[in-house]
Amino acid sequence: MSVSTLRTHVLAVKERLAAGREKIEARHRKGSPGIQVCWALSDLLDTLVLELFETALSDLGQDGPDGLRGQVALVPHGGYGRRDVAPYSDVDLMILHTSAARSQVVPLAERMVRDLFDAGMNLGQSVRTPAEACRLARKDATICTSLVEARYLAGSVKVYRKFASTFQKQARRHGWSLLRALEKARLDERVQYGETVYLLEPNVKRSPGGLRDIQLLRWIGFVRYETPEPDGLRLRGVLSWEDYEAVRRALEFLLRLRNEMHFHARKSSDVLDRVEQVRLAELFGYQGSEGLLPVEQFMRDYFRLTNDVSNLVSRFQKSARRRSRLVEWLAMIFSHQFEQDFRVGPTHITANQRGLAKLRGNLAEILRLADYANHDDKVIAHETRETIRAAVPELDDTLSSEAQERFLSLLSRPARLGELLRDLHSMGVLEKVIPAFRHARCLLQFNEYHKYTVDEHCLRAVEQAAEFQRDTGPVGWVYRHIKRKWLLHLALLLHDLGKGHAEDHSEVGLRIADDTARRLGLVERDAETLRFLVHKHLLMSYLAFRRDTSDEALVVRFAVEVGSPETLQMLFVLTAADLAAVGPGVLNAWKVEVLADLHRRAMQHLAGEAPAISPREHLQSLRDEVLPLVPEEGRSWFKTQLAALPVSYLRASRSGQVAEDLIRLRRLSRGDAIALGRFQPETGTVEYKVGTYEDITPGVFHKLTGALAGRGLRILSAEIHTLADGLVFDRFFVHDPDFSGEPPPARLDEVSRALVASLKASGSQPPTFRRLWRAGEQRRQSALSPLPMQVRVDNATSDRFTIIDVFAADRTGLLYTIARALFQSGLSVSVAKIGTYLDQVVDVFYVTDQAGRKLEDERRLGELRDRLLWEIEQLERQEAAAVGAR
Amino acid sequence: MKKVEAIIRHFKLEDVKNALSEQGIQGMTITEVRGFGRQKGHTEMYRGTEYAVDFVPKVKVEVVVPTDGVQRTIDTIMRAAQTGQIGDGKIFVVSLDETVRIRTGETGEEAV
Repeated sequence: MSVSTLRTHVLAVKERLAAGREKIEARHRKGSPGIQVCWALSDLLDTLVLELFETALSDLGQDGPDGLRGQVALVPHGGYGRRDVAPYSDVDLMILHTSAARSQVVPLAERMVRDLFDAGMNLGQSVRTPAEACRLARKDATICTSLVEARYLAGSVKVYRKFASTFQKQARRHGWSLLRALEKARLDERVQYGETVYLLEPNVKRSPGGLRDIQLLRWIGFVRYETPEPDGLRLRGVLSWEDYEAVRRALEFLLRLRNEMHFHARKSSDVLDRVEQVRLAELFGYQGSEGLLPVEQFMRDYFRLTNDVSNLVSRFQKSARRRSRLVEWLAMIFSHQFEQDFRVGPTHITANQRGLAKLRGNLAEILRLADYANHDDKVIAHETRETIRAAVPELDDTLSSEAQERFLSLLSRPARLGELLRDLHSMGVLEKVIPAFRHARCLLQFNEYHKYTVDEHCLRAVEQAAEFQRDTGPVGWVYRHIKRKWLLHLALLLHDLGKGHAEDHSEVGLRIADDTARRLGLVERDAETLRFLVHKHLLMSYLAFRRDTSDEALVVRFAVEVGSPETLQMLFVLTAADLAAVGPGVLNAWKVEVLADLHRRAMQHLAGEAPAISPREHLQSLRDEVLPLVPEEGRSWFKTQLAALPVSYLRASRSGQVAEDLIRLRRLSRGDAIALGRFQPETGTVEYKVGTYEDITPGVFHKLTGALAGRGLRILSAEIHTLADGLVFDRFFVHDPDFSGEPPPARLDEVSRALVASLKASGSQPPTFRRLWRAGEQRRQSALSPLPMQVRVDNATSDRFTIIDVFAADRTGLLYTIARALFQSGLSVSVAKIGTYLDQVVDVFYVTDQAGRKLEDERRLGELRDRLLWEIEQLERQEAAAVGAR
Repeated sequence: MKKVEAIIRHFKLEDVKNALSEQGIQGMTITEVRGFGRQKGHTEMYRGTEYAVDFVPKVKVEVVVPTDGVQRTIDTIMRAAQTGQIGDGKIFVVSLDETVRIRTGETGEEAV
């Protein structure tokens, strides 16, 4: 035996392997089914391994009747054992031997390993006795699963049988711990290769729903039902015909796909990357359609099949997992009947016979169950879910009012919302509520940016938002303060559903939002918010990341477009959740900071410094600075009033100034008023402070604004605050057009006197506004202004007040007009923030009715809105008439 | 060969990228960074908590260019990133010893 003859022999095998592979590749190209190609490859490998085995035996002089043949068995396992080996897969081969032959088997193993390797196979070899193999399988789940697929190839049948029967017995004896080990190994792998089916560059073997999941089904079958074959499992009645078909379909698709990937790469390659996706879509003849690329269609098929596999395997897993008696017994004790339809246990909620009967084909009942599960933070039990899934075809698309209510109630709590929505989606229920989910199912977004399919992305976005509940940064803070979380969650659920059409997805989304609002019976105000959030879901990230947000005019335009503090809060969280749902690491601290900055700046325009949401510790330190500066006498009065002073004032004023103002207010008697003007050189404006008691006259605020406007002053900003004991403290920042620079003291006195007089005068004489030539100019300017007049009402941001935002073009008397209209509507203004930016006015009013309650009545809110709009229009018309008359 | 590193306002990235592309620069690396220079940090009142923003969010752009193209690259970035306000950023030029394209093993300007 010379070295050269040995090499020749191996080289011949190597050539036959290559030639055989080529022939099989040709069959694959002609369209041979994947499974047949795999079998042909296994046969080829079998032949070559056998040949090398025979040569080795004869070369070692072990081919006689007493040779190693009686002591050794060749056992393919893993994919090779299963015979679904791909063109460049590993070849797993175990050399099984009796313990008596231990020393003789070494040269054989050495020789075999070298030859197989030299012949060009990716060998995964092992040399064990049957007892060793079984022991290792007990310890290591990976070895165990691989040996489940073992088959006999050559050598001693006796040795193989010894292994097979011990292994089977062992599997039966340790079934449960084995099952747990199998599941854990698969779970670890899933975590490593992505937890969702909807990865945009999936691994066809290891990602969820891939070939490995089908293998898991086989392994569970082997341990639990003594057969790994899906066909056998179907005959035993543990796998439904439907599921069996789904497995078969997916297996065929995935094997063919994987064969193609291996043949093309000429190596083992299981990652379906973007380049490969495009190539395969073309190869498999996908044509594309309007709004959908061929590759998107192809991947949608891929995701649908793998999603089916992932779902059915996890169901199979659960039904195979028998719970211990103890656990069942404990669950019984710690569970309680709920509304006669459900049983709520420590972790699960289960429908009883009566509940199951109700769930069949009844959307409202299914949503009721999901709502309870969310409320109690429980998982819906497996059998209950199966019943729902089976009955989904009986559901129709109409939503009863109970179904509407249940769905909105489900959306309102973050507890298990993401998981339950995902359950509803996988059971096919979600698309009965929101039909657009049907189109988005498994829809790929073929760009470098997104990692998940559209449906998965939307579900993830909701989950992300719910996770903000525990976030310690600004997003979490804002999320926790959003009162109507259901509206935000609904917007997130819908925000990208418009994708996959030729038209811009935001525009399609707008229609979907409109349709959904109608289906769910939302009132117009909520519908409007929903439409806005879905339609403009990219607005905030666009401005924050692409535009200069230090430009005040841009922030004002943004604030005006958003319209209300509540909508702004929702848009902020929506933007953050949307980014976070794109993929891991997309929403980082840097992006949060940039978004939070825009949110904060826009909020200053929409809400000012709301009393309900003020920073406590910081304020206390500001107050503590003032206290030593006021007289000892009346300390408690000062303390009370200090506590009631507004944040914006405390922050903007020096402590000495605050003390001075307070001392002045203390001297004030009921029925009296004081006013004081001071020029501010930094801004070229005059600040007027007014102190009085609210019972001096009804409508304090509008009278003061009237007095200022009547003196021809332009109110740039105003703050009105009601302190303790009905003490009113207002500040107005005005521009005095009659003087450039500092107005003389006489003018400040004159205006101050007018302010006090307006409060003391009996009756309410409307002030007359001076008509200046500038008014005409203003009018022309405002006619050019592209900003529409708007009135928005927000009842959610503050606990005690209704917030009214008014956006209009600036003109003399505007604030007076608005304040009077509010007064005449019987509203009491507690805080007002008036801001003028260029020619745009953003006015914020915190109001209550006379009894100090929020305005909850939709009809009354509607009337108020109409009235304000009408009054502002009137003002504009009067002005036009005055200009025309000249 | 030089590496030009520019720290710019984040919303100017699009403009800088387009301007550099027009100059025929084909590759660049972008990093989201925080820092401060003369602009310093500022204190912000964020509903409920006051927190100091020590570092201002910026974007770092890195491009590698032949030595004779450095000035043009700097001019391009300056034109695109300038607002005239404090906080426009800075440009650093660093000498490079070697560049290697990982896929092919090409080195020097070939690899840029």
